[in-house]
Amino acid sequence: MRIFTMCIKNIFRRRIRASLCITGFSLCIMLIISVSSTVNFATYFIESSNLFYKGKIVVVSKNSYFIQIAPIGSALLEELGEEIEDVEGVKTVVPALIIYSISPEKKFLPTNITVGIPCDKWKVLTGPLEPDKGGRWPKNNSREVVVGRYLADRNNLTVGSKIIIRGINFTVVGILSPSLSSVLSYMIIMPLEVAQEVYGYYGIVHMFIVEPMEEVSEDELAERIEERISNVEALTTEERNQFIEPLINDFRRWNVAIEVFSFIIGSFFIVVLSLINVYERRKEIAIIDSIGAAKHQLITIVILEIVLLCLIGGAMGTILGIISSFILLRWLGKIAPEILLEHFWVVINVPMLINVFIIIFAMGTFLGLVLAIGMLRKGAINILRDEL
Amino acid sequence: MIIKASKIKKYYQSSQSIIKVLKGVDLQVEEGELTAIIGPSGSGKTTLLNILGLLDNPTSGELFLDGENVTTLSDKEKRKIRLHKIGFIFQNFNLISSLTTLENVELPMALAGKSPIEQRQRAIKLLKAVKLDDKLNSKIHQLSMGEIQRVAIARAFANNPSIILADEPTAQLDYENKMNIIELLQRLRKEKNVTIIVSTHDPNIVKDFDKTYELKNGRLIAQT
Repeated sequence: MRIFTMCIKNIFRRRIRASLCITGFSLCIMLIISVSSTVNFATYFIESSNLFYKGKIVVVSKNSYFIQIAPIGSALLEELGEEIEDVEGVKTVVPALIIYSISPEKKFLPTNITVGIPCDKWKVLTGPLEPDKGGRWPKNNSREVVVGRYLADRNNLTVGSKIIIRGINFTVVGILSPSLSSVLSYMIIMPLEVAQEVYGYYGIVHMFIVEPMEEVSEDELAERIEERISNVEALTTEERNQFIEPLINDFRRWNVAIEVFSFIIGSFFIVVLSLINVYERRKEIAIIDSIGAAKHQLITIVILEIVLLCLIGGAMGTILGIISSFILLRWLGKIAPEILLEHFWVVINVPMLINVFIIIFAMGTFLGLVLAIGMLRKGAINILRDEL
Repeated sequence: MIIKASKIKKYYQSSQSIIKVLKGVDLQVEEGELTAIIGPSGSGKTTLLNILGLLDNPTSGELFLDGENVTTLSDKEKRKIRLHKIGFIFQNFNLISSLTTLENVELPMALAGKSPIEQRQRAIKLLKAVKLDDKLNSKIHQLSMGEIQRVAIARAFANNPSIILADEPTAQLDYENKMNIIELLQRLRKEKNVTIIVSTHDPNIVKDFDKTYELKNGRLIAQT
């Protein structure tokens, strides 16, 4: 029998104590990982949603707010697009109508976002992303829509399915499975004129997405648009980000605060469990001490056991943490499973996992050392006398 | 002379006074002797055995083992002597409940760095000697009191020590088991030529011992 074997046997033979300790460690680590991962993913989600229309100018009504993909409080006449086209340096102008449908239920995201875009201009919104195999974009003036993967899955929609929007029948002609932005997964995309008709925005759009010519900078073109057309704001990529930047920074701060808080709570319980575990074994340690074990052997026994429990608990906690992160995001965030799987390494923050493991390992070793030294100082015979 | 204790004193400081447990104990034990220390509970037998077994330090006095003054040795050196030269049998057995009979006997050998094969072979031999070879893989809680004490005896002999200190080894046993344990100690003493010191409050079990001392008022008095 080797000392290491003895420690392993001790853990497995004292099943209730070891199970309780491992469960405690696992739950602490699960708490740390699941809280951190959930908050981390939420921050990433907001950040990634802010990547729309990169390199383009968005023209909206003056004094409106632009967040993520659409303005709030903006309404412009569609014919204003022709005026914008006349501004020097403008390559393309795409009008867009974006309607958020907020569910009365408390949800992380709107139920869906309906986007009206002129046919053949879909790429302004989706970039290189095309509808999945077997699908296509809607035809001009048709009652056809393309829906995001999340909406499709939640409502069991496939190509050819029928849906009713504001009392009007539509046919799903394509499913979008985005990888860049999860917001697209919540979208219903239809031709602009159809969206205007369905939602009653005749001749009105929410914004224009303007692509500058290659030799013209965004700042320069935005300035020209604002000079030429009154009561509009031409927002460059940088300006749009300024709206969301404070929110993202707040989120990052909250993220750190929540991670630290959950870590403190988790660590506290790990410390308590380690103390109870070693304290409960002090008689055995004293027996081994009385037989004549060297100090380093006693320290090894104490540390080895805590570290083993920490590592087993840590591994289990990591698995539970990953599972619970996905459940939390799926259940609270209503985020599609495929999006979560696609962003697995965003949800599961590897540096954080490594940090948690290193800190737990260090804590286990440090605590073991402190407790073993404390026992050695007290002396075997005094501990055995106390235990009588 | 394998053990020589000279003017051993042990005082404990309580909140109000100093408790003088040993007030100058002198003891000389020859190699291979079977010695008994008798005295009522609280007379200081355990304290004396703890000091002789290097588990506790005397307040003053000197202790020689095999001619070497061990009172001045470092903690590390004392641990080494405890592991290799002394086998301790505790009144309340002090076995590790999560380990099997066999593993409890192997433990001192594991601490001494003996190979697992050597540990296993010697542990089986020792358990055979104490007639527990049919309970090698039993858990401690599955054994009777007499069997537990025999495991403790086997463990004490694990590293082939030259001195065995048995602190009230029969205190928790019935008469039959008491006599069995004493017979076992006597037999092992002869077979392995070890020096054994047994403390007890029961004078009936020490009739055939080579020497008997009584611990009275903190001092040892030789019995004839």
